[in-house]
Amino acid sequence: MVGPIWSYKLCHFRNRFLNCCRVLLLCLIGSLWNWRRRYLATSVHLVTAAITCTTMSSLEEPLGLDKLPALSNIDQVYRFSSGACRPVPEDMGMGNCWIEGRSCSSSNSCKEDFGEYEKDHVTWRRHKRNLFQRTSSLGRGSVACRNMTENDTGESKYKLFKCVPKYVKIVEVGPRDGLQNEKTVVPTSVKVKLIHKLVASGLAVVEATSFVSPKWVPQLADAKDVMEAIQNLEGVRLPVLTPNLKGFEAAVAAGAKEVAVFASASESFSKSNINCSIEESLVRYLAVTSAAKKLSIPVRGYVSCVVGCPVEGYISPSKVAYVAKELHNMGCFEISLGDTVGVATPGTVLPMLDAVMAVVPVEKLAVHFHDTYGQSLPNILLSLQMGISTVDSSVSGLGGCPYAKGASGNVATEDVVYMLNGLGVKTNVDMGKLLSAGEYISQFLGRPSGSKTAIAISRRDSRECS
Amino acid sequence: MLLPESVSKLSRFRSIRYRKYFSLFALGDEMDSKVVGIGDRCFWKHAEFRNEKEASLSKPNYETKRPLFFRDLAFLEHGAYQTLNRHYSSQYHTGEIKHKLLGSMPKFVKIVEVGPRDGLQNEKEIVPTSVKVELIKMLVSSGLPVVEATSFVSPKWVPQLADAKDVMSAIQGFGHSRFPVLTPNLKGFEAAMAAGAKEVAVFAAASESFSRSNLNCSIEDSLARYCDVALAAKTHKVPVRGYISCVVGCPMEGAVPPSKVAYVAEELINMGCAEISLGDTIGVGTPGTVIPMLEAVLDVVPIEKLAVHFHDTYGQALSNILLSLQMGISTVDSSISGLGGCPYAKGATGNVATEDVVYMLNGVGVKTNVDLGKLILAGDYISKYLGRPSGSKAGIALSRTLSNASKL
Repeated sequence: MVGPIWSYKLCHFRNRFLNCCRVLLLCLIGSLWNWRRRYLATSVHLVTAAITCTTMSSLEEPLGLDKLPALSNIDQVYRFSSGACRPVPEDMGMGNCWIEGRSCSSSNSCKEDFGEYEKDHVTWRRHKRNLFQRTSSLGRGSVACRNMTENDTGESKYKLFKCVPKYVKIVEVGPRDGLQNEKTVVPTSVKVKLIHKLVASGLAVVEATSFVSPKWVPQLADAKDVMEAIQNLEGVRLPVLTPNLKGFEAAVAAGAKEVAVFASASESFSKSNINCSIEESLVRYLAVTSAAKKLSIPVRGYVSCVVGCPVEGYISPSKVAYVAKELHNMGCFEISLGDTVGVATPGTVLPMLDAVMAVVPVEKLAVHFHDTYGQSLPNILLSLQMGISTVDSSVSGLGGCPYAKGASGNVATEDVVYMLNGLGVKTNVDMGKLLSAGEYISQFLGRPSGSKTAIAISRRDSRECS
Repeated sequence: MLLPESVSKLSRFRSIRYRKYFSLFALGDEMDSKVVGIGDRCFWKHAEFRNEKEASLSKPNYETKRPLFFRDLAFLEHGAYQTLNRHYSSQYHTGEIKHKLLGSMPKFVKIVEVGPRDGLQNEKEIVPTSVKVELIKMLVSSGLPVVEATSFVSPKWVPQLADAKDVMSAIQGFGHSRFPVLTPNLKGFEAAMAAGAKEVAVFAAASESFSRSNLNCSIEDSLARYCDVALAAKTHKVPVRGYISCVVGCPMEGAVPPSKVAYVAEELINMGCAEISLGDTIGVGTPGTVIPMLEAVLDVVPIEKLAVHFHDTYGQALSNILLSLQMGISTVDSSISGLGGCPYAKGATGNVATEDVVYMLNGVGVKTNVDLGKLILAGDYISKYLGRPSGSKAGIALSRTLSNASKL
């Protein structure tokens, strides 16, 4: 029967043609997404058309969204081309990613990208679960987790850890942020010894002191003496806080090689904490940063109350992004986002980081969470998953919360290092020496360490000895 | 389709300078300045009321103002996402911030409260029955769906829970919660049935040495025992919950391979357990070790039957819980006020505190049906009785903030 066979064949070819058109149309839309890829568009269309024709679905299985290899092949082609940078495959509003790739910000380099593909070809697998669950259809090795083997079941863990950096810099704020909140005034010799011990444990950055008027912060009145005693320390950065030009000049005179400024995302907190509005404080810091630029001194910017303020309540992410952008524009090489009252949870941290990462590159961001509500470690984990690679913490959890008397403040460095070690992230910090530094200051202050890791390890060790 | 660049471009317009061009965002800003939150409640900031007390007592008539925007949900502070009608909802319904990191979380998480059993059995002093019953009552009234009441273990081993029968008879008919009890063998099971228990739990270990030192028998012997209990439970139509201890590390053996945990989990599921709770007994788990363990168990047990029971000995519990939620686990064990220390590191903490877990879940927008305020009251009650500060940081911070607020 010639008639039906002809019509069947025509139908088949017609459907294939229509599918080709649909795929090409989607390819066209896909190529327009990223303006950087425009110059590749024509060649990619030809390549993609060639690829899709060979992997077309049969007549019985209509081309579903989960079976589109074409777009991922675009990625493959792009990634092997010299001009391609990391794609930004965010959620396309269907509950799953078509292009399963590292959906991080533009900060990751292309070199890592090639590394991912050199060792393994992209295997495409059918979705085992439904579209609204987050499974990766493309099995890929991750460079993030070193203590895991690559295997098929590694999909979801790699998906969660795709953006976790290989190395996290820990900024130790104990000697400044910690001790300034202590009731007892710690003698200079103890401070200096603490800083020496912290440096010996391998911490790359230790915030030494603060050049604020002793009227406001009597605990750090000996700033000049501390700076003098730590001049000979090498291989470590020792930033100091400078709230204004006068403090900056005093810091430079005392030999500081890095300074920090402190803005707030909340107007009321700014007024109550530094006695001026946000705009006025930014003007002050502009003066400090211009002076610092002339002397080639790097400036670190802190933004406080990035999630909640003790007076105003919730702080909207756009305010934080505004202050962070201003600090970045005036020349700060790093912006530390501080949750001053510790009320942040992963649900509030995520939109805040999203907003700030849209205006400041992620490699210039640091997170400074407080453990007042016990939420700092999950917040840090989430920040790492979003690509942040600098974390502020305080040895032994020094520094309480001035807004909830008796509650804890900074997150403990020992706990953070324990978690990072468990994640396989490099910190270059020696846990043993860090624990001894924490023990030293806790003994001096006459109270148990604020770090659960320190307590657990010391109790465990004492049990083994007995 | 949400084009990623247009989303980030749009977010740029939410900055302060562009407010005048986009009135919707200005409305959000206006609401921001008008409301302040203290604790987990919300009052109007300006002088619409004579004093803070009146503000907290009267119910502001939000309903007449205007429809809610996404940003309205956001300003209810301290991580507690409530709509203005005081029922928990997630801000992610709007789809604006449907991020892949938090998008796979379950919408509802069941919290299994183990304080009255796992917490109190590790206390040095023996708590009287009346205090236990009062504690359970307060926990039930805070909305916790499951409260592990007690344990039918020989009083020779656990003298703190020798009054199991009295506790069970006192809590019969309390609220809508379930009260599982621990039953290590058939004898304990029969005692539990006689006392009126409607749900039981059994307790295996993934590490041979820990099983021998804790339960005085090998893993296989314990599983055989629990097989009998499970069979008896089936005839009585009583659900069984299975615990696995040392799922990440053992105080004697060190790291525990995930395959062992998967083996024990599979055995427990095959003998009929309705739920398996994976316990990191010494608290050494970190996200890097928890994930391979969960992956191995998920191969043999469906995810809806899994629960996680992390210890906060090294402060890692909450981040491990966040990770488990990201992987889709929807049941979490915790203990009120962090009751129950670590028997392997004297003075170190044990169970994770329920208040901290609920605080985090509220902040992420996950429903728990637990009232944080009443939970904190329960925690205060037992901490006061035991004569020491709460083991929950959220509990301490919230009770300090609330006490300061009341002084206004």
